[in-house]
Amino acid sequence: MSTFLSRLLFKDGGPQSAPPSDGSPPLRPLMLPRIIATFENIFAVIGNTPADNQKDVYITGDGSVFDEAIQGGTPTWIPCDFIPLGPSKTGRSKMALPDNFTLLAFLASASSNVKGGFRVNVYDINRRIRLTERPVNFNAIAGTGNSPLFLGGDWGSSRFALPYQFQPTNAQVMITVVNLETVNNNIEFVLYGIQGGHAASQ
Amino acid sequence: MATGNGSTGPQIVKIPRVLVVDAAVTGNAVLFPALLTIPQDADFEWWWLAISRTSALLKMLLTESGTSRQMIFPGSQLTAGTQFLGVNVDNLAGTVAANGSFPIAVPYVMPASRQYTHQFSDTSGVTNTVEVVYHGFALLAVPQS
Repeated sequence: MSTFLSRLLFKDGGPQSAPPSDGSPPLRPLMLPRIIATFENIFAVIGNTPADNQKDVYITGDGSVFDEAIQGGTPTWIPCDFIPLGPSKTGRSKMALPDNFTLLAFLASASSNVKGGFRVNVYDINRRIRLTERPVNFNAIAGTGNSPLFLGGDWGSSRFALPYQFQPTNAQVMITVVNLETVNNNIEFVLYGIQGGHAASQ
Repeated sequence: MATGNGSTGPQIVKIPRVLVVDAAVTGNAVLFPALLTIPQDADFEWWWLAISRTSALLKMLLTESGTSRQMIFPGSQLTAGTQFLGVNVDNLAGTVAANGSFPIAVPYVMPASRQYTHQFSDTSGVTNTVEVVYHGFALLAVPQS
């Protein structure tokens, strides 16, 4: 059976073995290594662990992708619990953040996830900035500790983005949660980040 | 580091190290304590967290004893009569085997001999066997030759 590659390599039949009738030039053998390079290019792999690129924050033999943005500080989890939130109910919680908090990731879980679990909206009260355009399904904004999505980083100049720093003192964030389930739902939404530390690039 | 007398100061070498906290949390326990003590031979640079547990109905609090520094804050306003019990362990980390270890992202140095208090709260009703594993590096000071 001739394949696209074998037709290019050996001209073993198929429409490409004869010059195209439309007057365009035939495919040249020079195209082959370019195609193979596309298939096997090791540099095409993004990040360290192709299995879970969204939590690639360490670079082999180097350090963290946040090294140029922030160094030092204490890892900090700030959970917002609704135990439980009633069926189809909306809950709001104004969360006071620790001083000098830099947001790195969201984490979330729900005890019931039959009809989508819950939606969540994140709002920076001090700066009046919505961090979510509209309420987002929790599975689409956050994973558990198994599968975090890290925000920002310095994966080279093309993917450089500073992680979000809240107001240095008295920062507050409003979390709005909508239970999509028709049963009581134990909901936890967590802000993960760094308290303190210093900006390495400034 | 030059000391001025012809000799040089110690060099820091990173040696892979894994620190483990084991606890058999009794059913419905509230703030069940377990302690991690950093080995006294070197500071520990924390890079990854991994957790295995019997039931996911388990919360954890983590406090640095020397500084009373909390790593898990009560963000939401608590209703009267409730107690802050921390974060669900599954929101903290999973197991390495399931590709679920959590990268701390900005590595944190835990000083030698310092103690870290873990407090577990169970709602499964039966004994919950939990293991919290810290992956990172011992920052060993070795004399420069």
